[in-house]
Amino acid sequence: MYFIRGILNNEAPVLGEIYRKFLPVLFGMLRRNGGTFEDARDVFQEALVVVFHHAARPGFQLTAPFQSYLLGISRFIWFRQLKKNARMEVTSDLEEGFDIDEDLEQKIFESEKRNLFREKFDRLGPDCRQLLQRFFDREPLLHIAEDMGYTADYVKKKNKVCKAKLMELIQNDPRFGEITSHIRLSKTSPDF
Amino acid sequence: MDNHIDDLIADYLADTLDPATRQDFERRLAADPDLAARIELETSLIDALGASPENHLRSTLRSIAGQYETPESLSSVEGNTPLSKGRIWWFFTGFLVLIGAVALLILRQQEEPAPSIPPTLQQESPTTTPGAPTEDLPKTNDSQPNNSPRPSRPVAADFRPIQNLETYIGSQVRSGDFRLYVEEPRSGVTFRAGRMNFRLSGKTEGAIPAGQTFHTMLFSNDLKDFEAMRPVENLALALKPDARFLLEKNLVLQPGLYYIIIEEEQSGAWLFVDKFLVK
Repeated sequence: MYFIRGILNNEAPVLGEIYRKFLPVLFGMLRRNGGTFEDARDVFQEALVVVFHHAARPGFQLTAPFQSYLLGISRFIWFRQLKKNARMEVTSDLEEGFDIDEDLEQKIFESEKRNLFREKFDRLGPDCRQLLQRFFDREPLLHIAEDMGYTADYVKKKNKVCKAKLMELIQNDPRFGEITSHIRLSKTSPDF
Repeated sequence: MDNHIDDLIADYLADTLDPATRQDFERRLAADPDLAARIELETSLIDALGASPENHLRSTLRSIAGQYETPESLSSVEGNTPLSKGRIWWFFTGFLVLIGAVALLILRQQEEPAPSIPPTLQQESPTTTPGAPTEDLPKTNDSQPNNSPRPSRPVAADFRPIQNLETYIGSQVRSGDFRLYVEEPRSGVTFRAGRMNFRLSGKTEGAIPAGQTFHTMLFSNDLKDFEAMRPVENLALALKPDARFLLEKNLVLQPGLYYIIIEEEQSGAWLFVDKFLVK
């Protein structure tokens, strides 16, 4: 479990090795499907985060070679992006390969949801971002207020306003409904 | 939702409600799907945007990805790794081999035509034969009589390498608790096309974790097959008690460029990568 362990433990040398070894392969695949190197880097990073969550489950076992596993996830992520952007038809070689099971699919959708949150968070003003980040990092209210030179009440109110704005941005994006419906469907599907 | 509920939610998520209020709130939560959806969304926000192992990983990944601004940068950064010494040696050896091959091919060029054959492996026998006599091995010397069609142009030109694999050739790819050394086939060997007893032998050094298994994959130089992890041959590699290994298989080889990859089954880490030619 050399690569998996490296991802779970956030080991930079192993992660570097994964980039050197597998990113060129992914780039080759994406390039034939209209992808750029930047696309490949983004998809690759998301795939590694999905592996991180999927492999962290108790009892996880890798049932395929790591390359097939990682590139299978990457393919799925890229396939979703192509579909969403309706950029082009997907060639057959992009669709074949590692099978994504329901559990893994769930991890991919959850990762997509977190990315949507990040994207919307980045659209907030700098004050809101700074304040919310400290709340999300679970910094004590009084500490934030003191540090920012505000009263605790003001910080509390501002936090509410910023959070409401963020939630509005998220909920008004059609992707949010689509992703959460996938996650709900997956959660309510019976196990066979 | 009113200010009161906003405060309750904030305190609930911060885990600062007293036990009685918390219990009341959770009862309300169970009966109110809208409230439950809001709590779920806010919890997801904290998970996604707050300090978390995922965000630590993302930060490491961003810094690694920052080293690779262009496709070319992948190979330039890699040149700074400890593998680079071995690679330089290999480039040098490869250069000498190339000069020899070009000279040989120029001599052959005027002789006979050959069809353009995509490299494939045909399995002669479905079973491996450990301990089979080595006398059956084909001679790898190009001066041997060759019954296969000869090329009308330099063969190597048809045998386009897989660049992603080339950088790993000649190095013990994985460093760590143990290493794996291949003694046969010799690195960069050229086999004669046709029937052969393919042998892979060598030894391991270091402590191999219990339950660790290995397999050997033979790939043609078809990039699509490599990307889809479709080896032309996939063979289990069994270690003997003396830490040596020997894999034998009867195969029919057609002209082409082939890659050998020995992989840890569990992790997919490559332990050894090399290539050979069949003419």
